[in-house]
Amino acid sequence: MIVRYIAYRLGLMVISIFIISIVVFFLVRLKGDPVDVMAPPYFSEEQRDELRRAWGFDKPLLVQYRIFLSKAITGDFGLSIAYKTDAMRLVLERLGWTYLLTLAATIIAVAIALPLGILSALKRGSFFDLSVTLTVTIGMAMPSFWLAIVFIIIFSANLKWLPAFGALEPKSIILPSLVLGLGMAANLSRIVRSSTLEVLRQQYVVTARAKGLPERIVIWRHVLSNSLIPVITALGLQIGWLLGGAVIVEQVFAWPGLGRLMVDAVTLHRDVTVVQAGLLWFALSFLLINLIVDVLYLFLDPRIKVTA
Amino acid sequence: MSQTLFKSSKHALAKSSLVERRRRWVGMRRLLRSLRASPVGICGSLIVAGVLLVALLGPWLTPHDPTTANFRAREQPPAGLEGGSWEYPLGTDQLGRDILSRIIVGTRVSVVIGIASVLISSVLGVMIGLLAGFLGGWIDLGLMRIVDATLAIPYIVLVVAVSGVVGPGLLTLIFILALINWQAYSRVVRSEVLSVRERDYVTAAYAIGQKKLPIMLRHILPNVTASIIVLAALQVALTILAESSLSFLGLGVQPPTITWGLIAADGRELVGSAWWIATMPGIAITLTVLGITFLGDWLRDYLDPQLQP
Repeated sequence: MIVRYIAYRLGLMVISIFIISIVVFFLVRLKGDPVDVMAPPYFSEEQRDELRRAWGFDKPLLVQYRIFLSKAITGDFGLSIAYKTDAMRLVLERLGWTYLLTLAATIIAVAIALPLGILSALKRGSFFDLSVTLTVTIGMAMPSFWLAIVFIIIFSANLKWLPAFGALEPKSIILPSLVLGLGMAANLSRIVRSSTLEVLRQQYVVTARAKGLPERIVIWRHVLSNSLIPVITALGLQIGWLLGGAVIVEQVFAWPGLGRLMVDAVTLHRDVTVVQAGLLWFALSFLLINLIVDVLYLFLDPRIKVTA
Repeated sequence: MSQTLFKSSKHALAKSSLVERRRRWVGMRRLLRSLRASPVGICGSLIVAGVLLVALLGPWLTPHDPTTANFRAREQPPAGLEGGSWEYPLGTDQLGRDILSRIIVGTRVSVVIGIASVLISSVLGVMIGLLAGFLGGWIDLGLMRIVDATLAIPYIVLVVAVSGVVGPGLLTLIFILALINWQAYSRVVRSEVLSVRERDYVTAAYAIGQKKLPIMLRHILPNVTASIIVLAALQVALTILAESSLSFLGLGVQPPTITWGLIAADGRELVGSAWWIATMPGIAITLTVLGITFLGDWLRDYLDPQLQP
């Protein structure tokens, strides 16, 4: 059953990736002639023609897409225009840094959001609950680049505790992952709170209390084990948000991840092959994480029936 | 005969418009009463009204010219700090330009981009969601697969890629933010349509022989507007955040135009000496987004009392 479900989900994923490949393919052609995007402004007409022939832009669109797709499947997106190396390899080199940052941020977010969300649900309406809700709302309204700058001002420029740029020492990950993690914690704690409140209303919690079970056991055994299940799904979706947020945070902290590579590719070099490969990897990461989360969900919640 | 019929129907029309106006007035009073009872709603609408006013009157409110450099007043800290003065309440940047004036002028750009792109994306998203939910079948399946697939690319990543390829600019930015943001509406509208579609009044409309399009517009659309309005309010906030981040990265609005993100980018290299340049616009962004969020939260409670968390 589970094998069939995974096969079904993988099938959906293939369709998604196919659609994304069309998006990625047309991205370079949004302005009509892709040479406009790739060629530096000083190129002569002959050089532009040469570029056009070399990349096959003179062929019909469908043929171009077929060539693009058959190469992309093997991981071949062409050479990076700026670095003169394989675009895919460049992306893969940077991917690990982004994953590392995302993982650290997720750990921070979970460590903050779980206790905050659960406590504010248990003490609903209290001063604690209100202040958590207010803090979370303010946290979600802050742009992440701004929070990053504020942290740099406090912890690097003034206190000189932590490095503000690069990834030269293990300490470097603290600030960027904190900025990303706090943003995610704000989102996540809201979800934890509402899901805990939902469970507290359930009949089995009332029954457990009516049986005279100590409150501690009711909370740990009956409430938490159930309220955390939907949180896992939310976590999967949040990681997509995190990957996006990483683009901005990596740029501010000069973290050598995929996001920084892509922003540089776009702003400095118009390196379209890197952008294409990067986009695909972002999407692939998101889809894979959510597939894993959903399969995990099946094991955690026996009530869920596979509907494939 | 036909003359009298025409007259009476005209009379009925006038009367119905009177009833309509009366009903609207009652609705207004109910709205204001609900607003008065909600501190979050008051807070949000005050902030939003303030931001809109500043956006509207921008150039007439600035204490200094936002573009004139004043080299004798470079990097002055905000009022109240050592070396600061009330002449420049939020300090000056590296060229001696007044930061408060720059933030005031930047408000308009952020507000216009936020509202315009949300208008475009909500119309687009609602249409696609209505079609998918109402027509069902292959169209629904195809459209929802496209929604799912495009949602797999993180929003900001796609914005960065598209604006990098198309090139920066105010109008392109509005369209990019809109084109990447319609999926949220489609999803909400579609799921609402799926539940509304089965209601008795829609079946009744079918039974008296109405066509699909009028049913969609007259019976289904009004029932999903509440969710759309709430979603749109929150999307304006998200769009303003995205625009400022993009401008900060240098991929959004371009320099002679002043926006909050660009002011922050100006101060990015100076966080050690003149921290106020980069931080002050962030406070404006946070406050604006907070106001819109508050207003949206109250609107949700007001429009759909069942939806309370």
